[in-house]
Amino acid sequence: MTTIFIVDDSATMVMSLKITLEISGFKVETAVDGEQALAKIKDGLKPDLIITDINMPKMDGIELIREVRKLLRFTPILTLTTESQQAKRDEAKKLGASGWMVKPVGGADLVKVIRQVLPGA
Amino acid sequence: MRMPPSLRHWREWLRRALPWWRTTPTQAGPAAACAAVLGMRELDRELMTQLCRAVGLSEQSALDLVERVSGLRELSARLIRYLEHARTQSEAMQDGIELNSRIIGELAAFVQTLPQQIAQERGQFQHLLTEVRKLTEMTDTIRGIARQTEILAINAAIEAARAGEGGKGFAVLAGEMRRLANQSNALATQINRDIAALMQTVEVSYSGEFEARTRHNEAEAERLGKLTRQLDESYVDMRQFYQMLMTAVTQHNTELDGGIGLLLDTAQVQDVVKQIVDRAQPALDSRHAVLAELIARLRAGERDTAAVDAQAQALAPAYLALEAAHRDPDVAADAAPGAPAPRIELF
Repeated sequence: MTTIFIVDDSATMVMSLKITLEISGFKVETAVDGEQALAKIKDGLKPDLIITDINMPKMDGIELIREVRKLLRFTPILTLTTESQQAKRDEAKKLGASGWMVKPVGGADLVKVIRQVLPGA
Repeated sequence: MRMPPSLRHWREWLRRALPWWRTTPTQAGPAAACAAVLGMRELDRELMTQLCRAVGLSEQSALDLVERVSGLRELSARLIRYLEHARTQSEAMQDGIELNSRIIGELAAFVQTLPQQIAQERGQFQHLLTEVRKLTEMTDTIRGIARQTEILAINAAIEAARAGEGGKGFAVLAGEMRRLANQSNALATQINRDIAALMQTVEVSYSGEFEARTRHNEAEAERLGKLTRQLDESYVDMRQFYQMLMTAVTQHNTELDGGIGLLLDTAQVQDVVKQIVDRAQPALDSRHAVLAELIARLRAGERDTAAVDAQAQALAPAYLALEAAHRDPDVAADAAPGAPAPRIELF
């Protein structure tokens, strides 16, 4: 089963995405910030896709992308954030992000994007 | 300090002598405080705009939530109505199911008796055939004996004729033997006729009984055959009923999934609103700090508030720049600063 790793400091966001994706048949793992997310990956978590917020305490999404790319070179990483400025997008893209989404994103659109990024999921 | 001689230098002297004179005329005293306040007012305006946006999002989100919950409630009500209707139909089908059970019972009972009946009739026929065969063998034996006796009688008559007067007694005996042989033959013939008559009687009466039983079984089989067809039709109805029920429940579940998905989408708005409020907090903190400094300076009697002015006037642009980084792609340009970017972009 395809595993999606959601990283966001908003409990509401995490819960709503988790339920939406589980209904669509995905397995979901979560973390509340970049630091916790990185720890889980270092512990052995190998998700098929990571969806991360940008503005988070302890370690933000940009830093997380930088660190994750050292451990998981090919795992797609999508951001899901209220940030929309081009400079941040470019920075994330340069560090290895696979896409950028601005909140709020409807569940149907999110699943569509995931299936584009992970064909066969 | 020596008084300068000309008016031109008077002003210069005063500026050096009196610190508050050093401020520009437009920033002196209350005018300086006004500039700072205007800067803060500008920030307040922007903050109100974003807070109104947050309130609007919350309100719309709440309305969407109510509408979607109402939709789910209607969905549930529709399913309950359908299930009520299905329950009524199911109860009507219950009578049919009971009848079907009886039909199956009758069928089973009928089928169970058939082998025994068939075996019994077969046995009776076998017995009859055996008896008839025995009798036929007996008559054949009798005929054989009669033939032998006749031959002996003929031979005896011939010998008696040869013997002349001495063979007269023997000729009488031969005659008697021939008479017995004829009687035996006649008896055998009678027996055969009796067997034939018996067979006919059996055929008429026994086969009539058999015929009646066979006809009864045929009629019963036909009746049960009709009932079986009814049974089959009722099972087809039942199958279709449950298929329809399954389709309705599946459709309901699909719509329910869709409704739940929309509800969950609404929950994301809470995070957006929270972040709007979160971004307002540092701007308010900065505003508070600038205001506190302005008040402190004014209380201290300072006239030079240029630095505070600059800070105050920078408040709104700094806040706008932060908000521009979080502009919603679908919001009109006049309602949100910054240039829009696509909501979803794959690299």
